[in-house]
Amino acid sequence: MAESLQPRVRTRRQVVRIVVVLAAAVVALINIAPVLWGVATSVRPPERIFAFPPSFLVGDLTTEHYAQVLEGTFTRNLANSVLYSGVATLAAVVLGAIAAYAFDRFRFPLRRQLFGVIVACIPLSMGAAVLVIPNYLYFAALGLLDTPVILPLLYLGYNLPMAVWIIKGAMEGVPTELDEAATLDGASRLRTFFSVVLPLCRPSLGAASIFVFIGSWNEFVAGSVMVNSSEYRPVQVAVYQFISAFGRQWGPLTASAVLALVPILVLVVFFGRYLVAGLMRGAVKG
Amino acid sequence: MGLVYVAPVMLVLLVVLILPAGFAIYYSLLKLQSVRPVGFAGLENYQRVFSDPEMVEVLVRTLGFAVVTVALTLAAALVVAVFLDRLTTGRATAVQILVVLPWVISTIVGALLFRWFFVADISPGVYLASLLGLHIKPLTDPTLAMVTLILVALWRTLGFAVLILLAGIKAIPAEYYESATVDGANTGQQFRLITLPMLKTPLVITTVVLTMSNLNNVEAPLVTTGGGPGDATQILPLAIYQQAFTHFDFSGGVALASVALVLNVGLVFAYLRLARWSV
Amino acid sequence: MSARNTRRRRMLTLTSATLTLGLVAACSGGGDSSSTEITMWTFLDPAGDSGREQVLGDLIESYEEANPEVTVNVEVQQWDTMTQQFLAADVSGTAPDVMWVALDQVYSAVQQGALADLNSLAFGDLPADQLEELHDVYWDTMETDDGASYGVVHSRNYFGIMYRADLLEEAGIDPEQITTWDDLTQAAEELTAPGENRWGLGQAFGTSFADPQILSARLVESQGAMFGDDGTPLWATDEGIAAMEFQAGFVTDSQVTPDDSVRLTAEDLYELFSAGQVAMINAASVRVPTMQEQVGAENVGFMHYPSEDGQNPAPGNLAGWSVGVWAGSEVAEQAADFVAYMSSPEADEQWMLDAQQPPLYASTAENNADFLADPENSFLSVVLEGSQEYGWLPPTTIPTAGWREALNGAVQQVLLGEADPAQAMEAAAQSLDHG
Repeated sequence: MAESLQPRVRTRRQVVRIVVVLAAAVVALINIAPVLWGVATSVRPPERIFAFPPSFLVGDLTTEHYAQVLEGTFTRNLANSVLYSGVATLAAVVLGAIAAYAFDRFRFPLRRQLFGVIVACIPLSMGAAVLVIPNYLYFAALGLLDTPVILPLLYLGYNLPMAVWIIKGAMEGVPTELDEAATLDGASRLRTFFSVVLPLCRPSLGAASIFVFIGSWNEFVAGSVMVNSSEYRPVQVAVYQFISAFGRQWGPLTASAVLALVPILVLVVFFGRYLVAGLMRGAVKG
Repeated sequence: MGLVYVAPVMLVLLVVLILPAGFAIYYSLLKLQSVRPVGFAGLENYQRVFSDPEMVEVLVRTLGFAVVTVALTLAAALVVAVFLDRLTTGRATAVQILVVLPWVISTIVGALLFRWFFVADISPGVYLASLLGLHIKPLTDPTLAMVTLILVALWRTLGFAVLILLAGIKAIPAEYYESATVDGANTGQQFRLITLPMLKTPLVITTVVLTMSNLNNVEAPLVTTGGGPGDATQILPLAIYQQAFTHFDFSGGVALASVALVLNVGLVFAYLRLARWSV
Repeated sequence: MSARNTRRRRMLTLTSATLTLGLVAACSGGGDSSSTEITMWTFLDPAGDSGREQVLGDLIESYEEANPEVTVNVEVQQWDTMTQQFLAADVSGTAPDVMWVALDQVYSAVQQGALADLNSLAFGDLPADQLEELHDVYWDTMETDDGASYGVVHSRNYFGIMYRADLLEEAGIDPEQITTWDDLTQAAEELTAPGENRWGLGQAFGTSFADPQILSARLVESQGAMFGDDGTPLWATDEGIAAMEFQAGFVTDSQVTPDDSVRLTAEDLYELFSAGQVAMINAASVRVPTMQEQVGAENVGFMHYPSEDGQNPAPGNLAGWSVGVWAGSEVAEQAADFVAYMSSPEADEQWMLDAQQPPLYASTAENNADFLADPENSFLSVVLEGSQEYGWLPPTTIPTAGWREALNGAVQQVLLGEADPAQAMEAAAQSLDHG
C-alpha cells in the first residue's frame, strides 16, 4: 500500500503527524504546567516565590519548605491517609465484588430496585460535602466522631457505588458458561465466585481499587470536620493547614501538596495500566 | 440468596449515605437557632431561600455551567482518547499519566495551583500572555470569569473522562473497523457509525459522574472565582456553602442542599431513562 | 446535672430516636476530681514554629506546671470552619472546653447558648485594676446589656493602610503627612505608575473571605454606626451612598486602584504587595509580620486610615478571635481560669514580645516602650491605639455575619456598572437582612 502512495502525499502525512504530536505535547504541557509550577514553588526560597516577572530558571533551590512540613505531624497524617484509604479500598473491593456478582448472576427480589439505590447513591456521595452540619450531628449521635473508624467508613461509603458499578461491568464480560461448568464440577457458588469469576476480573478490581484509593485520598470536607485531634487527621487536611488565618504559605503549601501527591503518583505509574484495562471489560456492554 | 450477598453494601450505603440524607431533609424542616433545633418549621426555610429572586438566576446559571462544562469535557476527552488509542502502549501510558495528573490531585490544591499558574496577576500564565501582547485579566470580566471556571472544571475532570472513554474505545472489537474499511468507510464515518454508538455505556457513565461532580463541587468555584465578579460565577454549590458558612443561615443552607440532593438524584434517573440504560 | 445538660441529652435522644438507631452518645464522664483535662480548639498549633504558636505552647506548659492536676489538650482546627463546627459540636454535646470563635460569629454562638459568661466564672475574681484595663473597645462591644461577657479577644487585628516604605521614600512621600483622605488619594496618584505596572492604592473587592474596606471606615466615620440597634444595616442612607461613591472613586475618578480590584481576594492583594505591584494597600495589621518577612522589615509600614478633617483617624475595623468557654463544659471554672491565665498581663507581655501580637493592656505597651519603638514593631502601637480609641468593632449582639461580603458585592456591582451606588447599597442591605 505505502509503496503506491505519491511522495508528496507521504510528506504531507508526515507533516500532519508532526503537527498532531506537537499539538499533543503543547496540550499535555498546559495540562500539567500548574502542577510543575507547584513543584517549582515548593523548592524556591520564600523571597523568590512572589518575584515578578516570574522566573522559569532553576535558581538557588531550597529544601526548607519540606523540612518545615516534615517537622510537624505531617508524616503521621500521611500514614493515617494510607491506612484510611487502604482499608476503604480493601473493603470496597471485597464487598463491591460480592455485591456485583450477585447483581450480575442472581435473580432475587428487589434486584433492580436495589441496584437503582446504588446508582442513586452516586449523587448522594458527591453532595455529602454541602451537608456537613447535619452529617456532623448524625455521626455524633452514632458516637463515631473523632474516632479512627469514622473516616474509613465514610470513604468506603462514598466510593462503594462507583466500585460496584465498575466491577459489575467487568463481570458482565465473564461468560456465564464458565460458572455453569464450575457448578457442574460440583463447586459451590462461593467457590465459583472466588476461583473462577474473580481471577478473570482482576484488572477491573485493580481499576476499582485505584478509583477508591484516589477518591479516599483526596477527600477533604469530612476529613476536616469529622475528626478533631491531629492524630486522626488525614493528609489533605494537613495540606490545607498551610492556608492559615495569616495567609497562604505557598512554600510549605506546595511542598506538602507534592508530598501528598507522591503516593498517588506511584500508584498511577505502576498500576495505571489496570485503569484502562480494568474498565474495558464490559465497558461496551451496558 | 442474592440479598445476602448485597446486604453488606446496602448496609454501608444506608448508614453512610441514605440515613444522613434523610436526616438532612428532616433537619431542613426544623426551626433552628444557629445550629440548634428549637422547633418545627415546616417548609418555612424553603420559602425563605426560594423567595430570593436571585435564586432563579443561580439555578439557571448552574444549569448552563453544567451543560457547557460536561459537553466540553466529553468532547475534549473523546479527542484525547481517540488520540491515545492510536499510540503505542508505552507512549500511551506516559501521555495517559500526564492527562490524568490533574484529576488525581485533590480539588482544592488543584484549583489553587490552576489559579496560581494561569490566573493570578503575578502568575506565569498572565506574564507569558502579556509577552505575546495579550493583556488579559481573566477574572475581571464576568464572561471571562465564567469561562475560567469552566476551564478549571474541564481541567480537573478531563483525566477521569479520558480514562473511561479510552477503556470504551479499546473494548470495541478491531474486526468492526476492519470490515468497515473493506466496505470503504473513511475515518470520520467509522467514528460516527462505530465508535460513537459503541461508546454509549462509557458516555453515559462519564456524563452522569461529570454532571454530579460539577453540580456539587464547592472547592473549585470557591478557590477560583468566589462567585464573582458580581454574581457572574455564583453557582448552586457555592450558594449553598455561602448561605450556611458566610451568612450563617444554616437552616437556609440545609434547605437548599436538600433541594439540590433531590434534584441530583432525579437528574441521574432521568438521564439513565433517557439513555435507555438498564441494569 | 444542669438544666442545659438535661436539655442537650433530651435533644440527643430525640435525634437518635428519629433515626431509629437507638444509639445515644454518652456524655463524656466527669472523671475523678484529682485530674482535670481542658480541651481547646484553636487554629494555632502549640507544637508549631511560628511565634504565636510557640507562645501558646509556652503558656500551656507554664500553666500546667503551676496547676499540676490540669492538662490542656489543644486540638488544632481549620480556622475558616471551626466556629461552625463548634456550633454543631455544641448541639451534639462534643464541644471543647475552651473555644476560639471568629468575632463575626460570636453572635450565633451566644444566641445558640454555646458560650458561658466569663464574668460569672473566673473573670469575676480578677483584680479590679486589671479588669479596668481590659475595658477597651473590644470588651465594651462584647459585653451584653446584662453585663455578661462571652470571650476575651486575642489575635487582635486592625484594618488600616499598609505601605511599602521604600516606594514611598523613592517618591518623596512622608507617610506621617497623610492625614486626610485627600492626602491619601494624592499620595496614591503620585505612586501610580502604569508604565512600571504599579498602582498607588491596592484594594480587593472579591467576595470570598472578604476584608472590610475603606468604605466601611468612611461609613462609620460619617454616620457613627453601620447597623441600627436591631441589626438593620444602615447602608442605603445618604452617608452610606456617599461612602460608596467615595469608595468607587478610587477606581473611577482618581484611578489609583486598578479596575480588576473587583475580583481580587485579600490574599491576591498581599501577594501583589509582596511583588511590589502596589505601593499601598487596604490591609490587616496581622499580616504585617508576614509581609516584613517577604519584603524586608524596613520596607513595610502600617498606619491608621486618614480622615475627613485630618484630626483623628477614621474608625478602622477591628477583628480578632474571641476566646471563650463552652457553656456545656464540665470543667468550665478551670477552663475560664486558663483563659484568664493566657490573657493575664504577664502572658500579654509574652504574646507581644515573642509573637508580635498587639497587647491587650496599655500597661504592657508602657512597660516595653523600647520594644515598640523599634520600627519593626511600631505597627503594634497603631493597633493598640485602634483598640483603645479609634477602632470600630462590629456589634456582636446583633447578627452581622456576611456584612463584609455583602458590601464587597455592592462595590463590585457599582464598579461593573450593574447598579448605581444607591441601588447597590439598598440591595446589599436587603441581602444581609434576610440572609
